[in-house]
Amino acid sequence: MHRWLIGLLRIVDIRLLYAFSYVFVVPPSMLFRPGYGFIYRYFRQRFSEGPLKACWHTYLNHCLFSQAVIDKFAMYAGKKFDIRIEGYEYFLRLAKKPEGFVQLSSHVGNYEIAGYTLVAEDKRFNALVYFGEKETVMANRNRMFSQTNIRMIPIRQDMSHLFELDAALSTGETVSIPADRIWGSPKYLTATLLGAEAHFPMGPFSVATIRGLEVVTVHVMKTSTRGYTIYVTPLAYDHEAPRRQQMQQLLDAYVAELERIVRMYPTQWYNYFEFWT
Amino acid sequence: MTRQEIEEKVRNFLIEDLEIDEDKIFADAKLKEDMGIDSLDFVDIVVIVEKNFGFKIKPEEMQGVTTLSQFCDYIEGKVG
Repeated sequence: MHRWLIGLLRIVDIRLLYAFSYVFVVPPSMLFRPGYGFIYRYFRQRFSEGPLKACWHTYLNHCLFSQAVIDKFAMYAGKKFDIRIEGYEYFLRLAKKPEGFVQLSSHVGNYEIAGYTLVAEDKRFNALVYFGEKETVMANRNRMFSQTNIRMIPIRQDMSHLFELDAALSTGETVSIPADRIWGSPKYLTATLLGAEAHFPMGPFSVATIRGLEVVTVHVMKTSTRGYTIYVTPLAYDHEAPRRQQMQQLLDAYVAELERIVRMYPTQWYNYFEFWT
Repeated sequence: MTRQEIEEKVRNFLIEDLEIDEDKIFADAKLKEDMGIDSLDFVDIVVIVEKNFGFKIKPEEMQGVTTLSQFCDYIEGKVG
């Protein structure tokens, strides 16, 4: 299926596949998958939308998610996108420092696009990825990343990926960690996002603060058929504060930036589960 | 560094950095079951030990270390 899709994307216009998915993929997936209810409630409760508007935005959300998936395969097929980066100077400044730094990502927009764009020549880039993705996806990613200084670290249930991350940071490399889903360790921190409390994994904030590293958020948002904007935003925390406070300050800064992005692009929220407590 | 100094330093970082209750810290306490240390805490421990004792723990060397006393033995073996 994936090989077939990549082959198809080499010869057809990407918009044809978008249109196909709006009609034949999105409606069935909305009807038969539980994600529909979570996203509908997200628009109703977090944005106070009426039922009809929430339904429409839920449909748009699914369409944009299908675009994000198609775009990923389009990149494997060699298609190019127009990418604008906000905060690139800051990213390059961090990349030139000898110390490592942490990039926190979220399940909004299309983060993988950043992996091909936001790369520093001077610093190795380590990205945490979920194990269990289809072999074709991993193989294509490996093929594309082999031309760059990017390494993927799969998230494992025994948390051994954290040691790989820490080892990378201790030698001045950069790591990218999704910070909005709890995996492996049950430890969490709490913050208010869009007016309601939610739990966030402690791991990313712990890994960053234990070494007193600089942290940025990286969000890659779709702005047009072939356009993406990457937002790189530095996060501040008091490096002298007690550890628990450092983690909470960092989380609060991360959540504030996530909320800013989500309010700008509410239909590109892709956490298809009950996010809020 | 003496054994006593090692135990004191370990005790301090367990309380201050990992927020473990003082009454859970005793020689035979099991790191996982009694003190609730998980892999996430262990990453912290690797960094803290590096800062306090000047060597890097290798996760594979910690295979047989299950109690606080054994953990202090391990550090003593490296720096004592």
